[in-house]
Amino acid sequence: MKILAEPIDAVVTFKGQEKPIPKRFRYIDRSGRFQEIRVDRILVCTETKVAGIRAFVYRCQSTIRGEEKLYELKFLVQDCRWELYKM
Amino acid sequence: MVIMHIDANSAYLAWTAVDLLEKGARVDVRTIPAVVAGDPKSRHGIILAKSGPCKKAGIVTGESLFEARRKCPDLVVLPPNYDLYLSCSNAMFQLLSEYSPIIQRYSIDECFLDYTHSAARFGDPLATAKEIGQRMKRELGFTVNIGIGPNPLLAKMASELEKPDRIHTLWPEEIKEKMWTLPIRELFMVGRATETKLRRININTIGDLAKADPEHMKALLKSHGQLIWEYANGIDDSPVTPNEEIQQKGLGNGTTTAHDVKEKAEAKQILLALTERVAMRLRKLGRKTSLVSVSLKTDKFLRYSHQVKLSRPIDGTTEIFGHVCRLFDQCWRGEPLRYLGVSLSEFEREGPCQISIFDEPRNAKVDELDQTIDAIRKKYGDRSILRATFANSKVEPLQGGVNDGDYIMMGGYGRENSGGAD
Repeated sequence: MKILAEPIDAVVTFKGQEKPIPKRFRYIDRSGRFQEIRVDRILVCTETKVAGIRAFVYRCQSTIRGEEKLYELKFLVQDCRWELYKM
Repeated sequence: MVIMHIDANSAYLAWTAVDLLEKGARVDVRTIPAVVAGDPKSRHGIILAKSGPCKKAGIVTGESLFEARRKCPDLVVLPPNYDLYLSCSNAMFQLLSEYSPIIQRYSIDECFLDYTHSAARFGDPLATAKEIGQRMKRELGFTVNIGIGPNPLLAKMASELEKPDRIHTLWPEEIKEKMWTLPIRELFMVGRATETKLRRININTIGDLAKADPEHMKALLKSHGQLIWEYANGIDDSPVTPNEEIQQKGLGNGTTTAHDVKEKAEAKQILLALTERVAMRLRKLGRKTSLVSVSLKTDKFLRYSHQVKLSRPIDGTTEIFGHVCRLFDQCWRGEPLRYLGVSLSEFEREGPCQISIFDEPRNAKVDELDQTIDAIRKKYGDRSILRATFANSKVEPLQGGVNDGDYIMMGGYGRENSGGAD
């Protein structure tokens, strides 16, 4: 996985006291087209504070074009936005 | 006492590097010739931090970008990001707070931590320091140097020994071997001027100074001589004081202008913008000042200043600005200016004070106006209410201070002789 840090549009559920759960997201791929991906499985979620920037990093798994792929999504708490962190 | 001094390694550059890596940068700027420097167009083009390869090329902090580029033509220049530095510094402080409640934030990238009472809970200081160092690297992404000693001075000297990412101890029995062999300039509180004076009398290492006669030092350098002699012998009985408890002795605010200021009206507007900020900070501290000073630097880099002692302490922006104008008129010789500064000292707490029959009658409305403006700015932002004089002017209405003055600078403050925070 490489760090991409691409801003994404995301559909997320917030449940009571729990951390936000990403459901679907879309990003613009290298050819300039929107790619919509459903988050099939969240394997692990860790809180990070690298460079003092508080964030939650979700390691997820999805079937993308018939292929099982691992990637990481990141929720930047201070900025209230989502990134495709690694893929 | 067990004191730790934690110092982030080439802080500004490392923090920028971590941030860039997190944003998907392919190279770590710590490994290439890179510097953090201000914008040369607005005449802030000095080196604030440099990477390891730059250090090897002979680039030093504080020199101009122009000189640095001559030494290293393919230099990567990164702009400073003070919001990021503050968040890194806060994260570092927060991590340290888990180990002791007594922490002094000496500057943006350095902290003193009193470990004396934490030893019972966390055990051996060396092991804890190792853990702190590893956690900084793992959780925050940058490395630190940690110095451990029986007082703040020795802890600080220890953390400067060998960089980066190291832990050093400097106990009294190690002073001779680890500290006395260092050149005199390495000692805390010995600067360029003191170094020249000491070298003239053949004091070249810290050991030379430690073995010198304290009376001789006192005669040569007054109380500062006594202080550095004590430091050379590892004597320092100052405690680690959390920042909220530090008595601030002075406030200052200054700016290097983007172009030379030649007009009196423009200079006064800049001074007003500087006074606005410094007076707000004075009132926030709940103090009144009775010494106002103005300092100027000309286009020929000649510096001079002028000050006035007031008979009655004041805290009003307009009133302070009146004195600033008077001082400026008295001392300015008409040459183009590149730097203007306003500083306040000799504070007194707010409260009842002796008034003079020679003064203008005090106007309670003016005080109320200042308080109201402060409250509006606090609630809606610093630029929510401004003086009309700045309406059609190119001069920034509030000047000086990074992050609106809410920023701890690089150099450190609050210990011994350094009282002010610029």
